[in-house]
Amino acid sequence: MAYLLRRLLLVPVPLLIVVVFVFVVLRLTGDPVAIYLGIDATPEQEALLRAELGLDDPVPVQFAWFLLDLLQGDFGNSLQHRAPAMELVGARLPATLQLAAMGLGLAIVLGVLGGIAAAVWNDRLPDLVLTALAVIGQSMPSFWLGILLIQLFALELGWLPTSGREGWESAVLPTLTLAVFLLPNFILVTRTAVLETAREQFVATARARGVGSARALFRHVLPNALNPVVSLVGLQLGRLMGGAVVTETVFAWPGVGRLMVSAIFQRDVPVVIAGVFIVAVTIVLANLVVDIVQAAIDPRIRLR
Amino acid sequence: MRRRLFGPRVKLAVGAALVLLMVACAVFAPWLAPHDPYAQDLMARLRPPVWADRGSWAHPLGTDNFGRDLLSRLIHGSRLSILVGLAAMALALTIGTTLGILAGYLGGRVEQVVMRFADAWQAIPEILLAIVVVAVLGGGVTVLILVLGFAGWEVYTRVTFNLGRSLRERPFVEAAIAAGAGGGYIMWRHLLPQMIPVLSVIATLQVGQLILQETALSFLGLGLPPPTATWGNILAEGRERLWVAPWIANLAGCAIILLVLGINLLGNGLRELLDPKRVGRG
Amino acid sequence: MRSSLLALGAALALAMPAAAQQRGQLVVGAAIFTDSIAPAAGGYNTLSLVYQTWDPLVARDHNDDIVPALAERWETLSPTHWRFHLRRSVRWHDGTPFTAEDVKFTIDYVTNPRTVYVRKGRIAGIAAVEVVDPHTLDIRTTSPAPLLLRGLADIAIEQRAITERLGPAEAARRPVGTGPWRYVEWISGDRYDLQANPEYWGGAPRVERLRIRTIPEGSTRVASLLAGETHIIEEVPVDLIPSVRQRRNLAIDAVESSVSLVLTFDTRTPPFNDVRVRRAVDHAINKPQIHQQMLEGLGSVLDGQLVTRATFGHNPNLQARPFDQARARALLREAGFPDGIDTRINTLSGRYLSDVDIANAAAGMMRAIGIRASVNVVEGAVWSRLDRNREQGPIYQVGWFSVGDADFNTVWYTEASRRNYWTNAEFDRLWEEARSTLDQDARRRAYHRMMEIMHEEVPSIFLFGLPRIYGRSNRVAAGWNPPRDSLLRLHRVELR
Repeated sequence: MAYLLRRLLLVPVPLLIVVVFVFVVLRLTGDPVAIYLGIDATPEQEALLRAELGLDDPVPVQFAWFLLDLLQGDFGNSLQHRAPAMELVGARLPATLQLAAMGLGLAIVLGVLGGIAAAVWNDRLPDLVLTALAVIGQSMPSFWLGILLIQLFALELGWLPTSGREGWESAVLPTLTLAVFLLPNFILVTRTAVLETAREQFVATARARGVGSARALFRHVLPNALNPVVSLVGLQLGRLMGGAVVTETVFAWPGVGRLMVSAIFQRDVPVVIAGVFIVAVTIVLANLVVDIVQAAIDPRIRLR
Repeated sequence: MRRRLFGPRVKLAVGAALVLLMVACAVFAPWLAPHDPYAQDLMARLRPPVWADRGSWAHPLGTDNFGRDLLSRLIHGSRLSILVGLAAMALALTIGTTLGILAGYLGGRVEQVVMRFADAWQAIPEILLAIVVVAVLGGGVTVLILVLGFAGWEVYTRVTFNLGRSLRERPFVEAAIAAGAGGGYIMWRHLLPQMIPVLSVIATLQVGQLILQETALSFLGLGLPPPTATWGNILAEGRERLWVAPWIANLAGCAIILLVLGINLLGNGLRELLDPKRVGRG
Repeated sequence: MRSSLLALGAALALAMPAAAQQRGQLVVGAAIFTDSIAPAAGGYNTLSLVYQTWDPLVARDHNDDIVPALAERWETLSPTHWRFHLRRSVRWHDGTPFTAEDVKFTIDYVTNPRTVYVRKGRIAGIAAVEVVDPHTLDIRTTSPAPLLLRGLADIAIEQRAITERLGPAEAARRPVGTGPWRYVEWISGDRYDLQANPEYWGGAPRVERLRIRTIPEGSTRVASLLAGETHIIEEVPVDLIPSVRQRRNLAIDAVESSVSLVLTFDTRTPPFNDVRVRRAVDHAINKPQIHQQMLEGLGSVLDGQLVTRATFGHNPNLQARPFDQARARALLREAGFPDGIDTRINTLSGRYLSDVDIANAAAGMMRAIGIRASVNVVEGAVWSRLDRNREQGPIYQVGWFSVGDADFNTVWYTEASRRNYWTNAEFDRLWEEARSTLDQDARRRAYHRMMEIMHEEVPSIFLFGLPRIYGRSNRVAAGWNPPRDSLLRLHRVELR
């Protein structure tokens, strides 16, 4: 309980680190005004816009103002879109959440099942096939798979639309692409964890007591093997954004990933921070849940 | 029990053969490559490999977008790609594992500092890291390795932290503490060996990812600039031409797959052969 | 004279019987999709979306020629005094009549030094706007302004009442314009849905609804055309052209744009301060070969000068320097570089058609005569800083667009631009002269001479007039012309 309380109290810390980092990097490595106005910019226009955006102050002062607004829930306005940053991110968020939830869900289910199968048939054909698939999946860039899927399912077979976000059909290929991006880690880590746990003393003891293999697997091996797999779920949330950007681009999926990348290139600080902030909150909370779930599954973990 | 298709010895042999082949390519690239990997001939661009209809032995794997010999570029590309992939992985592994074990074993304040920082790190897009590094340090191989390494450490931290805090309560650790072993010794001799299986799986997969990521970064002027032969660059150049010249991206992808598969098999084989707990035949 | 002829043409077009409107939806796959549909925001690219709902006073057509829009004709009362006669009985989408007050309001607002309007530099020379009567408007310029009409073509006229009531930002969220299409829905990063404006002064659109979708990935865009999801797509990647052409029901429409892709030297420092070295590089690059291989022969090889053939100011007496490696090597030796040169080409990635590919191909050809050039891909924000500080390095690749008049891209070689890496007093003087007289012959002579100077001095290697490459389904029956300036003009498009 004390542990949980402390963790909750510490939630703002990583968020603050993220905000400071993003702010400093974007402010110091590019000039949003120059990018926005382009090569035709006149000095008067630039001065005007800088004043309007408060970019005249020294960076630390700008940051102080920014933080003050942030504490009141105001992320500021996007220069490129000329609209409140959080509103923009919020409008794009459902598309990405849908993609992420379905992609990650599919990857977890298939990955854990595949990993268990590979471990159960260790060193035999299913293991060989699954391991090879995982390695291939991991070494295959998402854009490549995406274009392959479009060719097969949209052009050759004509079952699904190539791109866009209209109706459930349009979500199939992006979800699949993202799931394959996340899947290999789940297969191989589950496989290894199950195999390692199965060789431990307590499993041998259980088997010696006459516990059947299926029962041994589900009652003794799996709960203990899940530790690294659960860690992986939290971790994949971070990778998810990277995978989502590529997937959203290939499939013209109107998600936050593309918005963020273009905002980064345009040094549109409020949008980037609004987006990264949401990602960071998700990750921090997910990791908290992961840590607690692990402690619940694995009685040996003492939270202190 | 049914017969295994491939035991540790087979894995070790196949894995070692693949990895050795790749490393040999990298080391002997100038002697192995049939052509200059930079010699361009626009009139001979996008020739398919020898097994395709219009292929010829002049360019066994065909040519790329600039009429450069793809086989020669793949052979030369192995040098930087393997170097970058392995070095960046090693860096990430070392940083991440050290921090993760410390946080898991010591818990308390160390845990909170390390793990909250890892939380933050996980949320920061890699592009941002790349942008700041380019601005401060410029491009180049060393910088590239540093960026990729520093971008990927938190994976190991989370896994080792979670394993570590489970392991520290096990009887063998408690026995070691009772016998007067120091924290460093316990972490190094008792905790780390237990984590190696899972870590090696993640590390193997990461090598492939890192080689792919190099491509994304070269777009920011951070990676190795286009004329340089790397698997990532070849793949990126093949991307626009997946329909007309699929062999470019496919062959570069195959090279990466073979390397990752080789490392994976080698690692599994070694571990199973050397593992004292191993029971049964090999 | 020219303007009244044009007006006559437009009147004839209007008098033709309108074809019956088709049910259905025209779908366009756009490569460039800006973050905003506000006229004030964003650069030139925004106009492609803005002009679906709004109109300028005078417009460019798909060929970069100036044509009447909300003004049906105009004349100059003195070199600095223009009179515009507005089209009568034009209504805004909300039914309000369009008047000269709206035009005055828009131009005053754009030129107001206190407003941020990205393209305001286009009409910088305007001194005053006067409403003569509801359908007549006078514009006075500070000096003779031959580029006024081309500038006005980039300014969308907004409705005074609405903009005043809601403010420009809010008014732009749900555009109420005079244009061919009425706003339905805008989903950022996804699509722009529009509905035909049956009362459009240029004739009601032939198709009932229009959807402009953004499909950023080139292969996916082509796939959407192949799958029949889109009727017209922008920017077909060069290597995918054959896969579109080989389908019986699809076609490629390409047109030369006014974007000139060039490799610019920093002539302020060695080795490229020596004109012999610059000419050597010019001789070393086999432009026709790159044009055939990397651009499928679409667009054009520039004639040894900055502007394309279709641009006002093109000098017909100049030709590209021939590909001649022996001559290139000799020039390098003469300049004192027998062992070659190590150098670098800066380029953006994906800003111009095949940009990185062309830079790579050029670098490979330079290597053949001993100029060992690497290609440095630069991120956009860094690029804008390098531009600003004039630090692009020994060579950088850039596309300058003229939208039909040499003034717009020759400026980047003058001191006035603060972006030049080469300077020439005669060139600067001619540029200034050409933009301050309405005498088109005098202007043409000035540009011809400027092109000559550049041809001799080689501040840049003039590579290609880049093509704009569109993919089209044969369901598009009529009314579609690929635009040189990339703005989508869709109201005459008919579907089969």
